[in-house]
Amino acid sequence: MHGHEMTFDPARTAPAASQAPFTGDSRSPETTGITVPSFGWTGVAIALHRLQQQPTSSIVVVRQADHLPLVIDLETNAYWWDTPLTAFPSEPVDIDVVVEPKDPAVEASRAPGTDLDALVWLIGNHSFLGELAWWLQRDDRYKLVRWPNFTMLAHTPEQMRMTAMLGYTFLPVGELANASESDPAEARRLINAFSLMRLLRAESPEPSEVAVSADPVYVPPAPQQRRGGLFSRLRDRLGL
Amino acid sequence: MAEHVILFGGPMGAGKTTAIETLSETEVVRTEAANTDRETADKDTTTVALDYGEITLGDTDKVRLYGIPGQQRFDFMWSILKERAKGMVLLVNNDAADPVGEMLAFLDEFRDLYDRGGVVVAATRSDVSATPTVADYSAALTERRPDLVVPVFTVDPREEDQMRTVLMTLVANIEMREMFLTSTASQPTSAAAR
Repeated sequence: MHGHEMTFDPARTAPAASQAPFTGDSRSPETTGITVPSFGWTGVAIALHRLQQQPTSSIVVVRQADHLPLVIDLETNAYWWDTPLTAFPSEPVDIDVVVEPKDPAVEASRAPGTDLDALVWLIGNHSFLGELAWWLQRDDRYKLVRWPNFTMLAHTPEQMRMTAMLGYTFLPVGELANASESDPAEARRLINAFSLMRLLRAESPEPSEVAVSADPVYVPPAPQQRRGGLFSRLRDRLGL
Repeated sequence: MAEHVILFGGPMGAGKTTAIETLSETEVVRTEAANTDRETADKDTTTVALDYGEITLGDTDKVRLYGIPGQQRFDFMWSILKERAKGMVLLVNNDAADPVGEMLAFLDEFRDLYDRGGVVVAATRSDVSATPTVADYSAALTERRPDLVVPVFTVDPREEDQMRTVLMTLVANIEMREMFLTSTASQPTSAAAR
């Protein structure tokens, strides 16, 4: 065991699953009679965030059923994985996340990796069960530092509109969802992903500004209500 | 019918004509001539006046796509079109000698659009030259205007999905800016509220 090796321990975060080994798979046979939420890529997201906060010369190794190991190196912003991102498993099975020191001999022999942004975008969008990442605050306001390279990322028109909003002003997640008429879970996923991609800056509200009410309830707008601007008409015309 | 003029600007050889061809639903009207400036861009022809394509949105809107000549000697064309333009896709060639400098020079020429948030930067040929990165472009833009977050993407102008993303982002950005300016303007000042 290396000094700074760490594994994701969901038992600390999911009381209902505390008797079962974490697999990230709600179909685990160990959990008969208990519904265990799928934590998906949450463990990987946490490992990446920790390494971003305390950079070390380490790699993240992700093992899961039916896939060869995924190796992530934040220092070089690269990853190595045989699975193409078009086949990204949104609900990984039997996932295991380990942070381990780089082995210079292995690093020297490794071929150049693939740019990490597209993978981190997917991880951010498929972790935390649609809730806000644990290191983010619901009442904090977020603004974009720079746009993600959307031509290289699978994205929706709603994500594009929310991103445009974040380019202009600081918004808490609830207001972002409300203003863009988006599902709050989608807004949280977007913020999670941008946070992992280090594309956000945050500012905390003054104590007097902190709302005591919950996020507004999301009611999807009727289709005819979405037909306002040129963006909507272009989206329809282009079949997006 | 409402008309929305979108410009495609940038240095010679950045892919403006190709980008319009990819997006336009009609055959693009091309006004190219023999390129006599092989030092800047090694291609047979270059745009000397305008390229034109369009996207029709039902009976109500038409998006007009104008490719404007990349050479400074045609800059009289720029001033005519930028008055009518809603926004601009600024294409820069990533394997040029100084693509970041070229981007900034063009933005100076189109300052009004830039100030209105009506610009998306699209870096072509990033498969040939990996640098500058989108982060490099963004850093230069932030240094110039810290209050604006200009979208910067890598693109292959032949790829329809990528060019649609660029166009949709430009429109989303313009509409969001208008929305925030409207909401800011409509908020009563403290004096008025009293």
